[in-house]
Amino acid sequence: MSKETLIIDDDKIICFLHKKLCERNGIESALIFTEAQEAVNYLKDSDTPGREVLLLLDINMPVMNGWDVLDALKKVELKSRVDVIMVTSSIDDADLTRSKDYEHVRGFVSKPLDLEKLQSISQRDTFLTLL
Amino acid sequence: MIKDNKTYQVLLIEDNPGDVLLIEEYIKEYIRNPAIVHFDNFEQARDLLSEGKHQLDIILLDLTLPNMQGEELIQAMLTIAGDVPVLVLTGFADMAFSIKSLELGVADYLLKDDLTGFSLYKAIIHNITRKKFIRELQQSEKRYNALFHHSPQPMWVYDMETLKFLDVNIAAEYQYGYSREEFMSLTLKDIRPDSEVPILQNAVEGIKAEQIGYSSGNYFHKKKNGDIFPVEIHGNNIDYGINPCRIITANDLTDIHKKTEAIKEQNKRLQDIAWTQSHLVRAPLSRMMGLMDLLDYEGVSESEKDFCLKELRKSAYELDEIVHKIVKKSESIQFDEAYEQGNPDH
Repeated sequence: MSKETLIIDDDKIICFLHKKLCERNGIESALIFTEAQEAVNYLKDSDTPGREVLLLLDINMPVMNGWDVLDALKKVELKSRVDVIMVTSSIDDADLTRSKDYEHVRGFVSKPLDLEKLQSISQRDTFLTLL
Repeated sequence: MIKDNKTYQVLLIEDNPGDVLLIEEYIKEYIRNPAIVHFDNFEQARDLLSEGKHQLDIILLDLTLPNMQGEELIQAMLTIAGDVPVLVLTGFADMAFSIKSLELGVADYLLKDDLTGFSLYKAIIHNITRKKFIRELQQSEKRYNALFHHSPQPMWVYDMETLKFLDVNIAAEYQYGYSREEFMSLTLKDIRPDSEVPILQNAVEGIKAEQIGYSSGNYFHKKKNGDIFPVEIHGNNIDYGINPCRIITANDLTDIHKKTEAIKEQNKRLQDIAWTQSHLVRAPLSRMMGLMDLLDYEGVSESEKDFCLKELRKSAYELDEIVHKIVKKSESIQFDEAYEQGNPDH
């Protein structure tokens, strides 16, 4: 069963670029969410055991930000396996440290994503930091 | 015989010419060049002294003058003699009166019948020196008193048992708004906000229990008008009353606190700018980097290229706008110059 990929970012251009990158990396059907709440709803509604999801999650978003998404995921205890990569324009150490407190988070990567970073994401199992 | 070479200025008030002669002889026995001014009545002496120009070292006063005698004469003399010691000379061997004259304030009491050159010389030197010591002691006491009372820093002495104020200086009266008389009826509790009274009691108990000497700490104090202000206290033990006492200096920290607040506010604004740089600037920047990456890919269509260029331009303008905002914000940070302006004492 192939992994689903969700791109969550309020910046439409970033979403477009990241989707293009995913396509180049063999991920044809990455889903784009510019409203984080919609992504959380989607994950809940389509939750099934054994399903694997990769979240490329922005931190600074209006209404519901990246941390809110992580808190929401913690609360709902999905049956799916969700791996989160924080993809952010922030290069704050405080944000990096904070992201390590969440078990879903597997990496902290600064924008913009490129092919190299994306390939590292799909390969690595330990916590990944690419600034 | 070795004679004293100092020029003593002696005022002799004596109406008996024989005694005048005798006394002048006695004086000259041990003092080489005495400057003796002689009057045979009180009135002339009064005129000289009231001019205030004299540099007399000692006054020798006969107790039976034509117009004035005894206690009345002593009183009159002492009121005009100022700092100059008055040596009383008389023929009466009257012990009771001699003691009384000393109580009135004369420096010494000599019987003419017992007088010798040496005893007179000794009495003159002894009383001049004694007066000089007393004067120095008084000046020193005055000086140290002034150090307390005129210190620009509020100070007081309090009794550790009753917490009552035993002494306060002018700066404390000014700082707290109580007069000296009011302070004397207050205790330390009255210059603390209610919430700080237990802290005060603990501190005093701690000092007593551990026999602490010097101590310091930051507290809040209350003025007469109810204003609460931050204060830095320094204290130490002092011998003052019957009970253990402490002397305190109190530094008003209001200005320092204000300054700290201003610095905190400035730091916050600087942090804001740092945050803006890392987040707002990087948003369009990372977008531009991503777009440029896309332009490099093989197989990018013409319409995609157009799209990328259009978005690159938009992001570049966005970035420019953000940089302008940051510059504006930086310019708004100007430290409150009021704090930098000079006080002549600093």
